[in-house]
Amino acid sequence: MISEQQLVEATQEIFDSMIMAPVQAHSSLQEKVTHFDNTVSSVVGLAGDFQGLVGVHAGEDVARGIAGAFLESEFEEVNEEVKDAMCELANMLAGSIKTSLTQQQYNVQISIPSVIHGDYSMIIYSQAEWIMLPFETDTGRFLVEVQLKGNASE
Amino acid sequence: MGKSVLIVDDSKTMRKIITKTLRQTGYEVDSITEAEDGQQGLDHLQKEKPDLILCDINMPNVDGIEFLKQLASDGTLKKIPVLMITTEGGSDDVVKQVQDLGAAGTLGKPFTADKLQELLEKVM
Repeated sequence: MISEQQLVEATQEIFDSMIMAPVQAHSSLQEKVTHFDNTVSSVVGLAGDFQGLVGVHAGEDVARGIAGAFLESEFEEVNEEVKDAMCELANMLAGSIKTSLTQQQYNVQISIPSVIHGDYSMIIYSQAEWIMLPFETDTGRFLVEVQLKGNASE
Repeated sequence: MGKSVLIVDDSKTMRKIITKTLRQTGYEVDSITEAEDGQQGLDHLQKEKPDLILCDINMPNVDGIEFLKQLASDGTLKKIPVLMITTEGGSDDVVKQVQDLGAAGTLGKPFTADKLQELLEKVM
């Protein structure tokens, strides 16, 4: 369905073409990370033949760095512009995943992105295919997460 | 003489990036107006008719598809070229749907100034 390599290429394409900042992928995490502190997470929901989500999780400094590169600006705090930039990153990744699944003849809809900031726990779909990839930027590391659960497996 | 452009996108980030990228293309722009969703875009079109519209598809309230339908039903507005910007640019279904509704072209995100310029040369 979705490979780690596809996720790496989709993320790198966004950074190369729109954020104009270098990004380096690392090996995927083997243990599920569900709790985050001082983090900005943007999430897009998936529905249709699959349920799941696409998430981007970045510490506050890294989120400010990503938004700064996106908007050619500097941000002293995590404000609405930083959250909006993080949402757009998740939105583009979700679009890339939807396109790939559609090309595999699956029917998938994506939600409008939402964002959460602070200390929180994220849900994990049981029996879902789960990928969490760390990426390194100039300002630090962020995580890209995909959870996909085929509705036939319910 | 430069052109007037309407950008319709719920993301402030994307509106800024589209504006920046548009200025990098060499397309001569005099004025850019921003709208946060399709309804704001339609409200603006009651007052002014831009030379070009760049519109997101996936938006709250009035989305890009409904926005296009409204334009298609208006004899004057449907003559304005509309480029749809979408994260689903690789989906043939989405591209066909917006073309059937009268969009001049589709630009998939992420995009570069070269891609936008190529599309502008094709449709303008």
